[in-house]
This record gives sequence, C-alpha cells and structure tokens, in this order.
Amino acid sequence: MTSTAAVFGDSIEPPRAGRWPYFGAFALLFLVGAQVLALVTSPPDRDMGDLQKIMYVHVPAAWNTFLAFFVVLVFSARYLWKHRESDDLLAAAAAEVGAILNALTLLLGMIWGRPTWGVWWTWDARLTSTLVLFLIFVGYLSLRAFVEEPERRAQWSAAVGILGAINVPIVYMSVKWWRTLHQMQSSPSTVDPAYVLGLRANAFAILFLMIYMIRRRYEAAALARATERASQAAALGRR
Amino acid sequence: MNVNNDNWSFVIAAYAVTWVFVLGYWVRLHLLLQRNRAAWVRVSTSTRRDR
Repeated sequence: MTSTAAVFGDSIEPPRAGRWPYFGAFALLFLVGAQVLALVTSPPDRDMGDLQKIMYVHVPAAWNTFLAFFVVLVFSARYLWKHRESDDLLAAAAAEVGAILNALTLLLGMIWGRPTWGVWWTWDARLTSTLVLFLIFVGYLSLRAFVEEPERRAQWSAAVGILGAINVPIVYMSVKWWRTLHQMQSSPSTVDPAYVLGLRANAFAILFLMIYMIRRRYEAAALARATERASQAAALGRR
Repeated sequence: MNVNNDNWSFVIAAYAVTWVFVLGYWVRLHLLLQRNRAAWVRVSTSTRRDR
C-alpha cells in the first residue's frame, strides 16, 4: 500500500509538483465532460423541470464537502497521535478546500431554493446545520491565521478540526431527524435512473478536483514551512 | 408544484457560480504555489552560497 508520505511528500523536504499538474488538467477536463454529459442526457424532471440540473453541481459539492472534512478528521487525529507536521498541513489543506466546497454548496442551494421554495434562505435544519459547519471551518482557518507558534497552532486546530468534522453526520442526518423543507439525501439509489450516470460522473469530477486541490494546497504550505525553517537556520548560522 | 417556466436563468447561474469557485480557487492556488516555490528557491540558493 502506498503511504500518505509517498503520495503527499514528506514534511522535511518540500514536495515536488511531479505529475500533479497533469492530474489537475485531467480533473478539469473531466468536470467539463461530466457537466456536458449531465446537461445533454438528462430529461427535465416532472416537477422541477430543468431546475433538476442544479443537482449535478449542488449534490457533488455537498458530498465532497463531507469527504474533505472527513480528511480533516483523519489527519487531525493522526497529528495528535504521531505529531507529524505533514498531517497538520494536510488537515489544514483539506479544511480550506472543504470550506470552499461548503460555501459553494450553500450558494448553489440558495440558487436552487429560490425558484422551488420561493425563498433564497430559510432557517431550516439542513441549511442551518450546513451553515454552522461552514462557520466552524472558517473559525478553524482563522485560528490558523492568528496563532503563530506552529506546534500550538497544530494542536488547537486539530482539536477544532475533529470537533468540526463531528458535525458532518448531524448535517447529513438533519433531514431525517427534523422536519425540513429540504428533500431527503440524494444518492444514486434514490434518484431517477435517468439521472444516475450524470450524478456519478459529476461526483467523481469534483472528487478528482478536490484531491488535486488538497495536494497542491499542501504543497504550497509545505514550501512555506520549509522556507521558514531554512531562513531560521541560515540566520542562526550567521550568528 | 410546477416550476418549469423560465428556470434556465437559475441553472445558468448555478453552473456559472461553480466555475467561478473552481477557477477562482485554481488561480489563487497557482499564484500561491508560484510565490512559495520562488521563495524556497531563493532561500535554499542563498543558504548554499553562504556555506
């Protein structure tokens, strides 16, 4: 099995870009293809008409938000266990990408909600819990920006990351636990067979993009840390 | 409920927002990578020269 250090590089030397730019280009092209496929092949929904096509961007964004925060959970827990800097940087990279996807999910939900529910926003359990999830991870990123000492920053953000990720099952189950305007969770088993291929293709497209973005964000953070360390070492050597 | 009429503006808005997010973050990420890699090359080169 390939270790995460092999895939994402080690924290001592900054990781190289390798073939990741090609993977990024592939992910972008895959997203274009998946969207064209979904828009061209899916018939209008009986109730929602063409508005159903928003599902191909909203639902994959939501699924991958959950997945990104699961990555935060795994690497935050691993940091607290092993104290490896690469785990902290990976958790932070996943949190940033997850927050972007979370914001996108909220915005797309509002665009979908306006013509179907008649309002841009309502304090419904699913919408509110998704907003709370977003605010937790905005807090996580703010915490990282304000705490300067690397070890304390890593420990505190790991704790916030774990607490934030625990909110994900609450968001997912909110449509079952409370009476909400939002429909039940969408999955290939609950949507019309005519929409399954488009939904799957777009979910994988956003997944590939998410993996690419987390890896490159980690690379940028690892480069910054390595530069900081080399500058400190050089300053000490000159004394 | 039937909302079939004039919904394409919402669909177009949703896809436009998606691409603004994807490409916006893409550009930000690549500018950050470029800046950080240049800083790393500068520091590691000057460290080697000092030795």
